[in-house]
Amino acid sequence: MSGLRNILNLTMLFTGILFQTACPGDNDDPDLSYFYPPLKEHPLCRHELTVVGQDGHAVKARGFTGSVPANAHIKLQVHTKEVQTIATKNGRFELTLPVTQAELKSIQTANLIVAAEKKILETKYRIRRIDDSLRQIPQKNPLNTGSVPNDLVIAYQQERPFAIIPASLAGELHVFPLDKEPKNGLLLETKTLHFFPDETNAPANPFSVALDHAGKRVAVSLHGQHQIALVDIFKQKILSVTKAENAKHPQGLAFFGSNLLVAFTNLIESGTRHKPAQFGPGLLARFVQVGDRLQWMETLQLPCQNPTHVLTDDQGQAWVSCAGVFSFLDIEKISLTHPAAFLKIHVPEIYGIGKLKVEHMIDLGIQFSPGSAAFVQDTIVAGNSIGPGILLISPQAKNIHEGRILLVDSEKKYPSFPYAMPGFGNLVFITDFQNDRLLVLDMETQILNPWPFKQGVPLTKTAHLNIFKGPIALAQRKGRPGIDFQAPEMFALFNLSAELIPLSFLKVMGP
Amino acid sequence: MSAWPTMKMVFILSLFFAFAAQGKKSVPDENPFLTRVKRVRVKKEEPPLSIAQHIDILQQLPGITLNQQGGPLTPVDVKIRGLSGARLSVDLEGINLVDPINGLIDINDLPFFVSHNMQLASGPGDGGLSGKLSLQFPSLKKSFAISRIGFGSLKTGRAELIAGDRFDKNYDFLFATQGTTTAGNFLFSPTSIVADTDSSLLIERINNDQNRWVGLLKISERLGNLKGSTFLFAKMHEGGIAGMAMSPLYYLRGSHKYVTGIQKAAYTTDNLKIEMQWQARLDARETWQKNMPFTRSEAAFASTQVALSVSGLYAKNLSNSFTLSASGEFTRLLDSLTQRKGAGLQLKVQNQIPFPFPLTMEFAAGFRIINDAGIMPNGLVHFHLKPCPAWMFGLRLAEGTRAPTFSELYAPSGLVLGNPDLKPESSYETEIYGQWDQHTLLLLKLSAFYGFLSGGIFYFNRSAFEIFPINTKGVHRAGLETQIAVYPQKWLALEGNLQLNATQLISTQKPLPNVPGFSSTLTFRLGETEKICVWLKANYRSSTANNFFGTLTTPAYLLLDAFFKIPLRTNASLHFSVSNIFNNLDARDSNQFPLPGRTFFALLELTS
Repeated sequence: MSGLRNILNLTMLFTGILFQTACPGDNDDPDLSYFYPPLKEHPLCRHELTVVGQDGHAVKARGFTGSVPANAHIKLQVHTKEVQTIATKNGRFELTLPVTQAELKSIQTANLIVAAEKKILETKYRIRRIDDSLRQIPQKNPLNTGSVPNDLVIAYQQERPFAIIPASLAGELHVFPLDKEPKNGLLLETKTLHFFPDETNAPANPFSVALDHAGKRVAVSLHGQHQIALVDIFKQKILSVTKAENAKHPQGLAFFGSNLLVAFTNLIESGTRHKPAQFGPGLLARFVQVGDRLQWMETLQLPCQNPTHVLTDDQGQAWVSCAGVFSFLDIEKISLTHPAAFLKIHVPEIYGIGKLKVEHMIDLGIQFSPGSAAFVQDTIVAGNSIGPGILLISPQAKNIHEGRILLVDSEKKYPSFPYAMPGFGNLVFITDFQNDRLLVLDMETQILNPWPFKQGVPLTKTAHLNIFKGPIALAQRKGRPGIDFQAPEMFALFNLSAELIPLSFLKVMGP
Repeated sequence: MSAWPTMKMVFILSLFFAFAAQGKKSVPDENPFLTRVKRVRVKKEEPPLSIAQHIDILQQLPGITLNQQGGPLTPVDVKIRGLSGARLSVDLEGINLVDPINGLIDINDLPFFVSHNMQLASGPGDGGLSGKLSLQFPSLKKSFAISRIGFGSLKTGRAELIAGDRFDKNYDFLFATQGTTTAGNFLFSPTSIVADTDSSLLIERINNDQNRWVGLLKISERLGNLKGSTFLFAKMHEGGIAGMAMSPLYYLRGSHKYVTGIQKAAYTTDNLKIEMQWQARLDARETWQKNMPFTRSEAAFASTQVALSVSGLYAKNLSNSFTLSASGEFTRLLDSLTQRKGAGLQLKVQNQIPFPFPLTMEFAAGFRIINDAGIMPNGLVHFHLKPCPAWMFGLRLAEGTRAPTFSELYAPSGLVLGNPDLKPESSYETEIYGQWDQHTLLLLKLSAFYGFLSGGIFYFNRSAFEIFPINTKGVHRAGLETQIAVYPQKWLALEGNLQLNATQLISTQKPLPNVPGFSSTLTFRLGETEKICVWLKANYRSSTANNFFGTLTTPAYLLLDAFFKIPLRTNASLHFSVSNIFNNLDARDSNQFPLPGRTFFALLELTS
């Protein structure tokens, strides 16, 4: 019996290989292509924020915040049926038109009519098969990044977008152009900068990057060597390397004007199965960018341990998120032995004058370890790295009990949500590390995964097989997709599989 | 780097040697680090001599991929046809050398320096899922002693002594010990560009020192039809864990010590043999950070195995035989209550039919029962046809099942966890092969295989912070292996192998990591083996995937080595080797572990 199975398997294997060779991939369907036709721009409708698709036995149309003018009249026509509504003052709308099963099968398009300011726009929309369309968002050709990529920012050179990615284990900094389709994980224009082990053989482990305000240089935290490098990304040159006195293991960092703030986790000893990791007090160091170098100014001791990210809120203020100290002693769960916190930091504005200080602290306790947070509409949105929750909390809150936690359905036992990013239509996108998907939070309604993103956005096909690739960071390209460029607009960085997957939301949104 | 240059080189040289060989007779090659054909013993009259590293011997076998952790004497993992880890069975004169906790074997532990015969059976059916490697000691006809001492680059040193004697006609003993050491520091290039342009950017590999010792003692006794033996084997290894090329570890060290012993008793009549054996083993393993004594991680465990086998000839005139074996095993972690018990039964039958062509048929079936893994069946059907003395054809179908190892099931909290929900994995393999053996002149063997590993156990992330093993949907494996050996003159020989390997992990649709799609070893000898001679060896490995997602790769490499033998007197010889002649500084083995550049090694051998 096993022999027969072998033969069948053999046949399948070679058939698969031949099929792959003979049929390399895409057909003429624009939804399957990397580049797509431009959208027609019109003041009455931002098509990239609008979707029409099936929802059970109905056709639904939804415009996210800003999709149409305030109070515009919206009508959805499907065959002979129609339904209409008035948009909100934020330019949102939702229409549902019940249809029969037979109509759903036969009808491919719907008309969406927008009337406002004495103008009318009628657009023919495809009725999306939502599940299929969502699966087409992640593009088939990812970029290979090098081992253990940790962070992602997008820089621009003459309007061309480039991804900057530090690969920690590989000791590399990659610069990928994002306006070309990768082939076999590669792009010829990719540039790689190497960070070598130092004279004591300590590895560099480049961890996080921050783009300066000129947009041509990045500061890179070298976690293993306790240093910060300033790199000219387009000349591929390390301009200078600096360290802060008595501060070890830098992680997150961000520029505020000419100030660079760097969070030092101050790791003393790695954890073992017998005891948790030992950290000193968290430190925040301030550097000033002076030409081609960074000058260390001061170091602030923080009232929390293991600061991991330096964040900027929507007012341009500095925040630090402390992840707390992880314990792996319990095989069934990961917990914290020291509490996590958000800290608002006062940053001196003028060179050399004033001191860093903690202005406000939100105590997050030992059940919630925040990843990289997003600041939207006077709300902090952060995923839990050690549990199934998304936290929404006011920046003025004092502790986690004043916030609201949205529980997330997860098939997996040990969920982690390490990154939250504000996106189009007043949506926040949050990476679900263990399920290889994006969660979508509508900040207008505070509903997690609103239609058409009912189960979030699936990013890979392997998550359901207990093998996940671990999306850890997101970045969005400047400009309007379909209008300013015809290529993927969002990019998800995968920590475990070491790849950058372009995401094209126009596979589900738009006409 | 393309595989084509090596393939073409092998092909052209093969043609050249085949042409040169026409009409000439020679003796079989005595190259000590070559084996002529898989599944056929490496025949040597003297204990073999590996020149620089033990792994030189294994590299000659097709289907084998060796992954070393950088530098001499570092732990070496062996893959057979793409399958690694706990899937290989290793047997040293009946003693099982596989770690009973994690199922692994460090190839640098094996006493190649004293073994007489080496046999590799690929595929399931003979014990392991990927194959079985068997080593045997020389039979003692008279007393002998061999000592070797060697020194080389990277402050590498090696000393060994092998002695055997027969007390009287009933008792004999074999004793062997070997100590090896290396400072292990070497320079390597962080990228291929730096190696050619700026030597000041070379990186020194540190925390790579290794110290090893193995010792063994075997005492055999014969009393009429009764034979008995006691065999003790001990190993100690302590060394740095140097980490990956660009993320080196300068502080982490590890040690592994074990002692194991086996007692065997066999009663033999004209057509029946009853054998009983008992093995016990004690292990201690530690990892710690340099200068930080309180960060030690320790584990100790004991295991024992008992086996009873009955074998005999059931139709003597046709050389038909059978072997029936029963076995029991018990393993326990000494610092916890975790333990494992198991038992097994195995029947093997061999039939030979002399007409019209000599056809050998081999059938085997059996099972193992383990208290925490259930029943694990295995089976083998093997047909072997020899239509004429030079030609041989075979078909082999085999199936085996492996229980998850102790670590895979029970590893406690930490970065690497066990998974108590793991199920056994099964491997099916079909192989066809053909061989043309002109005995003393030319040997050509071609084999093709297809295998499927069902429920294959591999490590993936359990959470963002931990990894654990899971049963995947399976792995397709297919390959083509070629072995060629040409002996046109007594002073000239060429041996080589080429292997093509295609693997696919179904869950990710990507190849298995660290399994090269193409690899080849080619060895060329000039000079008679009894006189001054030189061997040149080329070892090529194509680019390999580095992770399960196919996004990281290790580049291809080609390394060239040379070995010289200079007999000094009848009982003394000098050996000299140069590894990586062209000082390739950016060759990487698995997981980006850098390999050393050019190294030298000299060894003096004295025999009684």
